[in-house]
Amino acid sequence: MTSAIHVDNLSFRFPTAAADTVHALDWQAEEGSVTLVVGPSGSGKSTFLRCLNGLAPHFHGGYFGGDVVVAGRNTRSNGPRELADLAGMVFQDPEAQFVTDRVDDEIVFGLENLGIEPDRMRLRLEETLDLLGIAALRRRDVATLSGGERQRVALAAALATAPSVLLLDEPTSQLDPLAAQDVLGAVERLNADLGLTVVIAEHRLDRVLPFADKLLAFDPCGVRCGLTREVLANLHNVPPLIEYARRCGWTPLPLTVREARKFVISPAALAPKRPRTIGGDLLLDVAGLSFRYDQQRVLRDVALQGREGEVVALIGRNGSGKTTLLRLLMGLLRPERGQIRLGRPICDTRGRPVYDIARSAGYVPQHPSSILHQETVRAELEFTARVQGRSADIHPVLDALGVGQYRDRNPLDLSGGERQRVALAALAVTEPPLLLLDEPTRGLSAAEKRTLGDFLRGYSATGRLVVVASHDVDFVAETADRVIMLADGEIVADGAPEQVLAGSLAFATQLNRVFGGTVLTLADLP
Amino acid sequence: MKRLFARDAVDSEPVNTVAWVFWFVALALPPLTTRNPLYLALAFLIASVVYLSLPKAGVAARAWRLFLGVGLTLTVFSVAFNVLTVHVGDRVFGRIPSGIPIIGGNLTWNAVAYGLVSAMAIATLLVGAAAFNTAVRHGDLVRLMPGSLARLGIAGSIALTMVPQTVAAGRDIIEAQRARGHRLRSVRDASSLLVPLLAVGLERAVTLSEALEVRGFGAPATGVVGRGMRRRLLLLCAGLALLAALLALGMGRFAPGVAALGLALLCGVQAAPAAARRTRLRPVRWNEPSLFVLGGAGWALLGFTAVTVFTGAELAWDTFPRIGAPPFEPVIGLALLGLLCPALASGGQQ
Repeated sequence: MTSAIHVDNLSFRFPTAAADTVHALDWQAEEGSVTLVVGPSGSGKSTFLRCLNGLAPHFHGGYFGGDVVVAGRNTRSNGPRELADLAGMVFQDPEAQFVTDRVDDEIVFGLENLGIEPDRMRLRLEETLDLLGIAALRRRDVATLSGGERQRVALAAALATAPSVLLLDEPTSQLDPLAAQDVLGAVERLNADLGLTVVIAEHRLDRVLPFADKLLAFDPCGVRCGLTREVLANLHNVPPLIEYARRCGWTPLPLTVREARKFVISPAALAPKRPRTIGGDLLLDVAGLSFRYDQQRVLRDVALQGREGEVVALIGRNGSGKTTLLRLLMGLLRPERGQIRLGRPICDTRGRPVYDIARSAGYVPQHPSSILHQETVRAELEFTARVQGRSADIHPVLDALGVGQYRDRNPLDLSGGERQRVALAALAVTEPPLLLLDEPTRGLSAAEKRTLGDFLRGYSATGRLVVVASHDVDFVAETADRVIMLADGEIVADGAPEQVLAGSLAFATQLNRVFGGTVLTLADLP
Repeated sequence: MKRLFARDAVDSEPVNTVAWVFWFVALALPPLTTRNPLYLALAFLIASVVYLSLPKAGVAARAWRLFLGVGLTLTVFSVAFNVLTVHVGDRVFGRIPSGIPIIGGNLTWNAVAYGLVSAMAIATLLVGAAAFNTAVRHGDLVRLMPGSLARLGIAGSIALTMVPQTVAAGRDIIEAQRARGHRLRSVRDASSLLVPLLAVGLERAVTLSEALEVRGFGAPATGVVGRGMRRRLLLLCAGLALLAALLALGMGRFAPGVAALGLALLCGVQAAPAAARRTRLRPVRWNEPSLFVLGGAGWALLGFTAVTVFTGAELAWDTFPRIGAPPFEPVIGLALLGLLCPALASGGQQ
């Protein structure tokens, strides 16, 4: 098999960086292969992808050593524009990469730049729309699409030029499990049908492992590459199913639920009872809450309670109303109907200014950069304490979140995952009785998610309440005491994780799909 | 009259982007060349009528509405600033003690009038830009950018998408800071908004630039290296011509200055590496509404310049040291009315 990408002794350092982001890397991808790139946030995965299509160094500048050859073209002499017909790329945030405002315009944009004849372009447009199953979206404004639809349009735009290599930078980080499955299903189909070479950087390994041929791991101790099972055998921070399979010595390592089921003899007998925290005083009480944007109803008669010592997870598909609910709790939106009481002592939020509610509840939005504006991480935390008129010790919270070593760094110099944790630290430093988090695991590796989960459980254990909206079912299963599922603006399930997640078609964990019963996490298995 | 401006209704016949570009250029002419309040008032009125006649259902339109609100509010401050810092004029209505630096001195109606006229010029540009951005698709504008000037094209594309994205990011940031317990009470607090706004804006700008690069925007034509001796010579000519233009304009020699500037531009464009031929799935269509708008813009553009050049009509008007009645040339007024074509064509749907 010939190689689609050949990387020889590649090193890359950003102009202002002290050390190489990618160092002396040798690697190659065969035609039609799928390579999964893994590693903690800030380890260089995205930079590596940018080296493959010439964005590094042609766009970003910096120090570039070695050679990268994509389908016979060396990136030293060919920049990203010259490689546009060979390498398509989908970025983490589809919203930020859209150039036009209509779906079909967006898809043909690359073709127009390459000077493809209109007749061929029309044909290519139809093929791409069908391939991704988005023909119905062709005339929609991209701003009106859901997260999953946007990501599929971004994928279609990258594929329309019929590249031989597709580079995907965390394409499912903003998607709910079903939308992620849709997008990755399309990628898998393209790889199988068209022989497309795919390089995909992703934190959610369980989603991509089933169809990855090779693994490229950016570990702190160095870069490892090889066949998926070989690298997985010694990789830190693997999905729970792989970890359990390694513990049990299952060979070959199962990469899919189907493969794992062959090793399971009596699933139901394996599930022990999970100890549950008993809630204390009421810290959140929502009754009959309804809300609409313009004419569209977003929440309908939502009622929920939260108590001291609880971690409550909100799950649901993109657009189900999770973020809106958090913003309503914070007083950032005014409800159409209903009552919200929160804090210690618990009191009605009606008529209370947001800065007053902020003393009872800390809200970490999806984009951590919205919060961070100080020169250093330390100053960021001190700023929150100052505006709330409180004194706070910044060190314990930074250390607990694993970002203590960055206290004198500028928060905007950190990676996405690190910023996420610094933003959380900036809100948690004053220890509000209620913490509200919107998709806090975005961009975090498995180890970082474990640190975050430990922090949130520790935070709630000291008599506080944590409400977290998340698509990450493994994180929810490991961290939450209670799970609330929203669909179409209504609460459709509210209960312990094993009641809501176990057996769910969309939100069951990988372990639950294998073992069934009430098994959700590794802690549920012997 | 057919419906012309339905950006969401694909099968309608929208006015094409080129016609809108001409309309905006023609509308921008009065605020950029004159402080005559009569022409400015007419241009402002026309821009407002056109803006109000457009449907504003799209995301970009909503973002521009907010931007427009902020912009128009700021123009009010520009009037106050003018009154407090300019103390010249024959019509005094008050006095601030001279001991107070900068704002100390006479408060004059002349400064008020000048401030109002300047505010009207800015407001005309803002409302015109809002109408333009509400009516056109950003994607079509990006396609109009010359491929050979890829860097300029990328910068232009970012600028075009910046307003709606900045408005959205600004809203998120204000929410996030409020939720943190931060109250915005003084100018010093602005850093908590501006720094994240800048950071988020830059991040998005970088991603968009990357996306444009990897999708071949401005890709060079096959076999073109573009680093030869010819290109260097052309760049040298462009530099020299630019220098000559600056010198000529600095010495008040308008015609040779403009000619040298044109030469610099020509050499610069020639020096840019040749881009691959770009195609379009839907080429620019010159339908009736587009021609109507283009005709109106052309009439305004030609009328305004021809009358001022050939009849010597006075565009200049100053409030200092005395306020006098502004001159008005009816032909210029008639020419500017051509800019109403988009509103007339829309048939008053709003």
